Amino acid sequence: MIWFIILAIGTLGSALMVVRTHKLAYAALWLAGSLVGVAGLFLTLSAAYLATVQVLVYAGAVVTLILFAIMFTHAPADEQGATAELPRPAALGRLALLLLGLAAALAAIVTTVPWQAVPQGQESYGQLAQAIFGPYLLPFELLSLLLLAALVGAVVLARKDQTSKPLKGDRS
Amino acid sequence: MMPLMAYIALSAGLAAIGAYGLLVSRNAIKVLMCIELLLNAGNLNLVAFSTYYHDATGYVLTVFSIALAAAEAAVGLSILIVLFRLKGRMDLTLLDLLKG
Repeated sequence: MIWFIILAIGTLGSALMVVRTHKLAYAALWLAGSLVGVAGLFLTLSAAYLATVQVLVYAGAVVTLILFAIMFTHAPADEQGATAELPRPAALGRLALLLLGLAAALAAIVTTVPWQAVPQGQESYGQLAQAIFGPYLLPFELLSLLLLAALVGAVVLARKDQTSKPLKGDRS
Repeated sequence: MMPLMAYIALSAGLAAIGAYGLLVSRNAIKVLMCIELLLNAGNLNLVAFSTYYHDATGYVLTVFSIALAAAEAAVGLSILIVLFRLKGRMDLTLLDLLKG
């Protein structure tokens, strides 16, 4: 109970700071805080394995990747602040209307559906493994193919431009 | 233990913050961070439902979602580095090559 409230405030506050802060590196660090908060919420839901994976993959790998991208492409600080927000107030008004409508719809759904009040069980490693390697075996194997494709694609994209030279060779 | 509604409301709030940042920010890296926030809101919902309804499907889908998010971050950031190399800035309004 008390942990849930602490973690909820931490997660939402860090998420707000990600959106509001003007410095990109600070935004990445606040994002790490928010992701660790979500990992803590996984722990309160007694999903220890997923909390571990969340910290390892999200707060470890993804945030490091984002920080690397920020360091590689660091723009002047004033320019980052200038491009952080949309300039037109009319668009912001419409945006606020849209988001309020979305929040109202979500609140209506959340408050009217009779949700289960008491947790039924907790994550057991055996159950998770049986599900992954039983009915979800094919998606799991396809996921490894997808990760390989993403790895190769990222390397090809971020390489210095050698893509135009073979095309010229083909044409001649 | 908290009721399930608390987790769903928290996840809705996280998703709202992520959507707001997604629509408002013009810096490409910040947009990617807001996408991560949205994905986390979805993951929180999956894990909460899985725990409260005693079904491992949500845990499995969360594992898949985390792996997909990692792949998305790698490919997205390499696309942004190419954008930076071409244009010298990380402004999403520069990506108007396909605009009619």
